[in-house]
Amino acid sequence: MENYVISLAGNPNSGKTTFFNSLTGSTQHVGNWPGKTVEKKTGRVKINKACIDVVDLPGTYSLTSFSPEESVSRDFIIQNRPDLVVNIVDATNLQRNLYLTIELLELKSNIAIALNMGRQAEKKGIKIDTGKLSELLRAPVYAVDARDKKAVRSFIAEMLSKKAGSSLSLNIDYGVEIEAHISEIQDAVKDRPCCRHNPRWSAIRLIEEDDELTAALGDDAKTVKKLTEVKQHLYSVFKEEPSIVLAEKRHGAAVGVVQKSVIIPTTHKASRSEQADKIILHRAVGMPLFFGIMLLLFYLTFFLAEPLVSLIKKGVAILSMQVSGYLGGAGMPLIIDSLVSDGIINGIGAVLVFLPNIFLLFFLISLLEDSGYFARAAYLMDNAMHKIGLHGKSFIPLMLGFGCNVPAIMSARSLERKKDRIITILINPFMSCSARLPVYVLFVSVFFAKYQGLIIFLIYLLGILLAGLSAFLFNRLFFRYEPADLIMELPPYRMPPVKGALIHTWERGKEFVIRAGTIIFAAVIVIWFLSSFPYGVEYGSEKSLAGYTGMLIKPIFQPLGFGYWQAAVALLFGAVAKEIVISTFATVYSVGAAELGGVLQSIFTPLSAFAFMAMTLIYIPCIATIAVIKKETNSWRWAGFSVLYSLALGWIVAFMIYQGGKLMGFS
Amino acid sequence: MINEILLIGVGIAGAYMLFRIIKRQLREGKCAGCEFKGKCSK
Repeated sequence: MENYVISLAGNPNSGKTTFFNSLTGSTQHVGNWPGKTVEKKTGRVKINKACIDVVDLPGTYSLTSFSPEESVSRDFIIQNRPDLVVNIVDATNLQRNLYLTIELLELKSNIAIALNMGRQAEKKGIKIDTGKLSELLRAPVYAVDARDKKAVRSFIAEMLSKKAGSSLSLNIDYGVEIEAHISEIQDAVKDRPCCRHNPRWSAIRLIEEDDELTAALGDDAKTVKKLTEVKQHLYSVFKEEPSIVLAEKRHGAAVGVVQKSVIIPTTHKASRSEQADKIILHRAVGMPLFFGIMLLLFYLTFFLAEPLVSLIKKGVAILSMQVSGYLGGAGMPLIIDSLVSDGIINGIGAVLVFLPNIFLLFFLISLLEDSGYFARAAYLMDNAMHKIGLHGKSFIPLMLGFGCNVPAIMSARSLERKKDRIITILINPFMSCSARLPVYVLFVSVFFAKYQGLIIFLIYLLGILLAGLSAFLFNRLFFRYEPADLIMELPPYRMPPVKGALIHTWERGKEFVIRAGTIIFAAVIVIWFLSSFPYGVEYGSEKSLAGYTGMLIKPIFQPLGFGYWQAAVALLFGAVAKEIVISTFATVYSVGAAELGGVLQSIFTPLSAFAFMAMTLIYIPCIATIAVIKKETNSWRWAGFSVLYSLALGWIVAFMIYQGGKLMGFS
Repeated sequence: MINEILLIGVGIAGAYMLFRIIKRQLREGKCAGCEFKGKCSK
């Protein structure tokens, strides 16, 4: 059996991930916004008798090393030398897509071009002569619908069987002046390890001030000096940075290729997407519409899930009674009975009853992502993001934080500037993740029965505001303010595929179930033990170890309105994972999900409940989030700062809510 | 007596389990069942 490695490269939104899924049968989530694939993803497929490893590279517009996605793609192609690089090209945006194609061809990366979205191009009246395109680019070009599994697989089979990829280097003519300098640098670096795989490409990149290659030159003072002279000379000739001049030449080449191989209709009729954008991106309408959509999202998350939540609550109560009765009847030691019913069933059941809310939230977010609205929301937020010193692109990791802060923080890698990355990472925990939703749902159903959706929306809004204020503060304290404009592709709106959204909902929701069986399960056992120890004390009393620990720290929470040991222990364990706040209440009070609301009313008022919800939102990132902050910033300092800052901010905000509310006459 | 031993045994087992999970999360920077599992290139 023959083994091949192929990689998929292309612009964001060119249909790369769809192509990957069609080829490998995978269910990677396809997001209709740029930067979905930050990491490369791999899959394996057998076609005929060949075993093919498929690597989905991050979507990029070019192959510079300025952003992490570009570095990941470029490094993979250079270092791993895949047997075939399939360049997925969006036929409706051929000119822009060809810039990357030209760079790939310059890299001699053995490429085959798959023209995707041919049907949409046809609808727009765009006619592409694939034969001519292939001739001009000196690479095989085929029209392939990325959604058509059969077509995708036969395209790959044909490319591999014919060994059809182009390994010819497409040499763009950069003009006499530049070409002379390229040759000069090419000769100087051709034997160096960093550049010998493709000296011409390396020379071009060095002239373009590529950081990685320049660093690799290191101690070669002679070449570095020559390079500086070349760049200065080119600047004096063109009055522009050499990187801009070279990029313009490549753009020029792309324009030339398109002119010779494509017929584009001269009259432009505004598409439905463009017409919709006139309203959705309107200055006056856009923002209120955005907040309206978010409000609707939370209302739906709450109300549509309510019947199922009630049903599961009843189910858990019945299960608890049945199991307890069975264990009692079977003559099990009392402590086992208590562990199973007081601890495991109550503790885990209290969290699992909110599964419908979590699944529904993920489903609605998936629909929004896939419809193309996410990219619009980022565009709308660009101005606001600038005001707090962030790049508009930061908005996407922040939105993803509503699902889970861990992948959201990882996706901040798509931000080019370190400053943007660090601030986006630090403020991400204020975006209310799905683990906090059960806490809100429980508290609003008990204390704010009439305004459930609105209160949840307010808590989410509070998180967004605190994230904004914190970003503004961090910018002033730690970084120099440098505005950067958002250049973002707005993909066409599309009807979100329900099947895709369901798969994605399941994949994300599944994590929640796994957490219930792992970290929440372990935490519940520890809380049950603390509530029962020393043996003989009244379960969940002040005399238990849990009570003793809670009594020690409860004075901290006294001014916030919830100076009770149960609340203190709940917050203490909530630092492990936020859902455990609820599990702790259920375990220490030894009540099921159905009765939990009643016992909470004995220690909370609506005002202190709201302060407690705010505290749960802010007070500390969970363990996994702290770890990912450390990993992504490569610094325990930033992770430690995030913990201390959020603890202090959580206390201050909860204090202001409770004391301010009291002053205003709320209770 | 049996109840006391069971209580302490379960407590230790739970604490150990929690410790192992937290340790793994801190080392890997992932949550349980994270969609990025095994796919992180860095």
